[in-house]
Amino acid sequence: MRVVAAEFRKLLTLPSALVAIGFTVAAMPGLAAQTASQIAARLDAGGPEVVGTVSTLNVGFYLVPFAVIGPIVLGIVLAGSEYTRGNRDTDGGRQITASLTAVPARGTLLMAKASVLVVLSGVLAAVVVPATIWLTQTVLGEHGHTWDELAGTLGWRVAGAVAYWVLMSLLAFAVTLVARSGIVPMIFFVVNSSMVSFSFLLTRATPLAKYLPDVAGTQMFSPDYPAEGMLGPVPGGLVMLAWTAGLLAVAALVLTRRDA
Amino acid sequence: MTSHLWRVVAAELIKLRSLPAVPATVGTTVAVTAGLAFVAGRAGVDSPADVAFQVITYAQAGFILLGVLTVAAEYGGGPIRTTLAAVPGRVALTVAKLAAYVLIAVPFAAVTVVAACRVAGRTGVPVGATAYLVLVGALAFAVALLVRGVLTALGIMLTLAFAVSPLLATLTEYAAYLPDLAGARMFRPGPPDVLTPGQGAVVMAAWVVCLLGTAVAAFAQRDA
Repeated sequence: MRVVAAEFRKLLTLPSALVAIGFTVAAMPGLAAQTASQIAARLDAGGPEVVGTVSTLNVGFYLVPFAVIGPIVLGIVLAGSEYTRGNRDTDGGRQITASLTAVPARGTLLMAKASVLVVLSGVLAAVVVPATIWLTQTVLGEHGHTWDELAGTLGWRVAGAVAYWVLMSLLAFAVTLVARSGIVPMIFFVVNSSMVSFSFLLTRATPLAKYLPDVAGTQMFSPDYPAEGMLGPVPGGLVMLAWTAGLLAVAALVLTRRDA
Repeated sequence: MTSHLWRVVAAELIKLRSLPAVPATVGTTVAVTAGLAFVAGRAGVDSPADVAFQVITYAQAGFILLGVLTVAAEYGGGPIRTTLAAVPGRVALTVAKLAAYVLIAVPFAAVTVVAACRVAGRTGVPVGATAYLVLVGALAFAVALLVRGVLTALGIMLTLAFAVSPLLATLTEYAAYLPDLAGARMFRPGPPDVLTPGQGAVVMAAWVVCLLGTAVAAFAQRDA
């Protein structure tokens, strides 16, 4: 437990982690509310109820696959900050050597870090996603939906979105631990969460792309994924879970076997 | 003094060349760009020009990394102190670093753009795309000088270029004045057409100059 508490303190005193949390908390509800007010203005003017692919129903939800960048950055800095070289005041040392001196059991250290990440990104998702839905429906006002309607269409998707954020942050964490540097994971995961992702590009080239972790995981919450023949929400979630478990196992194996 | 500045540029070039991450960045970016252009082109959904523009948009990640590495690689482990002991003039040092970046980025951008267009089957090579890639890296250079950390600078620039800008662009036409979206007008037409390619280039260059100015002022004032 003390190791978990220590990892919490380490992560929450990293400026990058605080920026990532602040970005997620501010940007997702803010951008979604802005979209909602545009939709409301259009409806008031008698226009269509969709802006692009965003409707009054999914307006609180369409940013989930982009705002996941916040949890991803948390996962990357949680692992990557241990391997960043310090300045000359610390003899250019890396924090991982101090961490392993304090907690020589490497499995314990990994478990503590993973627990911290699951709790933080889980809480972040469980707060930000429902808050965004509530905020956008408030902004929509009379054009909004009743809670029954929302629960009927979005209900389980909210849980899916939370699971997606948690698993995505764990994936980024595992890859960073193996790479022992945050640079490549940062580029890969952030670019892949952009408007048109690598994986989405691959779904056009090969049907096997539906088994990629993010493509499969997106089915847990996406009501309108723009590709054919995808997995269902539950199989999709299980495939993403399998990727995450597999990569964490690899990370555990490398962390316990090799020199820090 | 002039020969002195040239020697500093030469030193910065040696540093960049001998940093394993730099050749890796250049090689990986060109290879991944060509690979993506091949995959997306084979899918045959978009026109060759669209495919080329799309993969060039991905390729900017490589230039952002190059710009960040040029500056921030010195902050891990503290070589910046050695550097400043050798070259105490901080403005001169920044100018030399920027020159070294440009000397590598220009051929790198040209190769990337040619690879993207050739593989995607687009005829003609947009010079604007090359200029855009060099400028986006210069922006990352300025951000890295301000925040002094590879991961932080990388996180900021990538989130701007790949998440914040595209999302804001769907919300407000003022987003066209963001540095990357304005610069992208140099090679990619975008609705609604607020800026011409020339104006886009000027807006992006203005962002780069302002941020570089702020970063140099901060670098000259504070402890390294």
